[in-house]
Amino acid sequence: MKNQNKSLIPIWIGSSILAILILFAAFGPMLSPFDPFEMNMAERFSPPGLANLMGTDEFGRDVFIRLAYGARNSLLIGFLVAFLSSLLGIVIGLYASYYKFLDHLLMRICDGLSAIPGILLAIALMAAMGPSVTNIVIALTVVSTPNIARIVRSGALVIKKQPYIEAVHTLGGSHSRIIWLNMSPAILPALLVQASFAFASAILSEASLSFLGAGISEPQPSWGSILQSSTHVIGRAWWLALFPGLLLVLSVLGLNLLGDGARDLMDVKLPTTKKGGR
Amino acid sequence: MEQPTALLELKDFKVHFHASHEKTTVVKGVNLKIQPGEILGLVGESGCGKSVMSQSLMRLLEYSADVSYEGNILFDGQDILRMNPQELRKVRGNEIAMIFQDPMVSLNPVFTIGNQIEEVLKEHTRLSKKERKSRVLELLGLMEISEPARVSKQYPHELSGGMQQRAMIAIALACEPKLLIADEPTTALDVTTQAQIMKLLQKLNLELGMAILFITHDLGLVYESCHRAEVMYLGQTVESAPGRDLFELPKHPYTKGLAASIPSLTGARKEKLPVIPGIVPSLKENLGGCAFAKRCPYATEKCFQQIPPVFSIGEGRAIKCHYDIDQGVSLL
Repeated sequence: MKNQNKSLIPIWIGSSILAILILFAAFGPMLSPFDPFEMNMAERFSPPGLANLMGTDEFGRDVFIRLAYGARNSLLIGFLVAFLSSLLGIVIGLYASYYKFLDHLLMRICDGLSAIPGILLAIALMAAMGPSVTNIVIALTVVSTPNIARIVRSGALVIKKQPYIEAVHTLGGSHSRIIWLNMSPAILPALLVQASFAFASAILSEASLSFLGAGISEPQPSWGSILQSSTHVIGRAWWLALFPGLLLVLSVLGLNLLGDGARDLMDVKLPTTKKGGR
Repeated sequence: MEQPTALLELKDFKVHFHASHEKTTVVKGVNLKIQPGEILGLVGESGCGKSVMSQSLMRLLEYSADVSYEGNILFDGQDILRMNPQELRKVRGNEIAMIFQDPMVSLNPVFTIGNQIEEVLKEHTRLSKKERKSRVLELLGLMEISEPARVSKQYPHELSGGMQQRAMIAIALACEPKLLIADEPTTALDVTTQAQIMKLLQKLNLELGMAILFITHDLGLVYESCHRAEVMYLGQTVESAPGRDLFELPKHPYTKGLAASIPSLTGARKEKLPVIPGIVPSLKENLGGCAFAKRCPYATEKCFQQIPPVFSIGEGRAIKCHYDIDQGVSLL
């Protein structure tokens, strides 16, 4: 019982952080009288104060509202990437674990994709497809799917050997019935945990892409591009670096706490936890 | 008692495993018949191929290993080895069902018992949801589970080992199979539960007329419950006899050894429990003669040179040995 109480704390912290971020994204824009695109050259680089809660940027735009709109993009992209890569990952992972032929084929493709550094692959894909939110989601899904597929596969390989799966064979269950009805529920906890990490890393990757100019492009607001704009003026306008940076840290921290807590709670045994750095 | 058409008949059945370009034959030509409604015991020590054989009867090994088969498995006149996947799926669970050694791991932990029984019915029957539910309760009742409605809503971990095995049997019997393969169904259970499960299996055999292939290494269980028994050694059957005779009057030297090595509760206490000398030869070893010759106290020159054929020795008994030891005569 003591153990259970303990493992609930990170979940509470994580989900509160996430809830605050979602509220910020949903209602933040309504709290501010400013327009995210309206420039006001007279108010350039004004520090945080009563008028501009988080100051203004090089064009006099309100940072608070731009971060709130950026949060919408970040959370939307993060969620979509986590959702789509889980969906693809579970299909690839389950089928690879079940059929030897597909295993070689799919896993070599995944190996190939993970051989290229994630951010490099994402930049290359963005360069090929052009900047848009849809394309960011596609590029980041391609990057994060192999990880999830691998985790699903390793879990499924264990489940596949369980006598209760063999028992379904003896009862005349079809292959797709075994894969989807009997094997997949056992994978779900691991998948959910991994999806929360994919969510966090997608937010980070989107910010990196936008920072590098390959993601959401100006004047559309993004945490990454706001951070980027601060690089020249970090001595004068510290708020331009601090607030988006803080948001990034908070969102990744929140999601990881949530994922970690969920993992402890569900007692998911993944190969990565054995090796894992945490 | 003997009926002309066997429910299941193995003809010179062999199972080969292929691993790293090597062929290992684990089941080496088994001939076996199960009559409808019969309980056939299959006895043998660990590694003699009894589990491999039972699993290959439904061709389950193909999913986990590289295997090939030889011979025939005739079930109701159809050869299981020549069935396509669709035909095979219709037989599995519907005509032949199987229960396993460890009920805890044989039940899916994420579904309720009722759910798992229903799944078989969904696959093989066209019962409506309501009919399936009542069938589930009926089956659990048949398993002598006292509160079927409650148990059907429980998850496997909420049940005791005996209850789990009952649930497992209920799943296996959902479609009233003609043959139940029970692969050491009581090994993981304690002795009292073991007795209950065996009673239950015998009752089901009588009431439903279902044949049971009962795989075990416990000669006592064979004595108690099997109509007929086959003794397996190194991938071959070496003796076939009615269950009680096998225990009381073993004929093959190997069966004699097995019977002698069972500790007895009555009679004078022996200094040392007799054992069969030597170890089970590797499956890869090429034995020129009788597989048991090396360990057989009666072995002669002939045993090392010639593979003994199967001799019928009356009263439904047969042995794969050159000699009738008790009579001290050669069977040729």
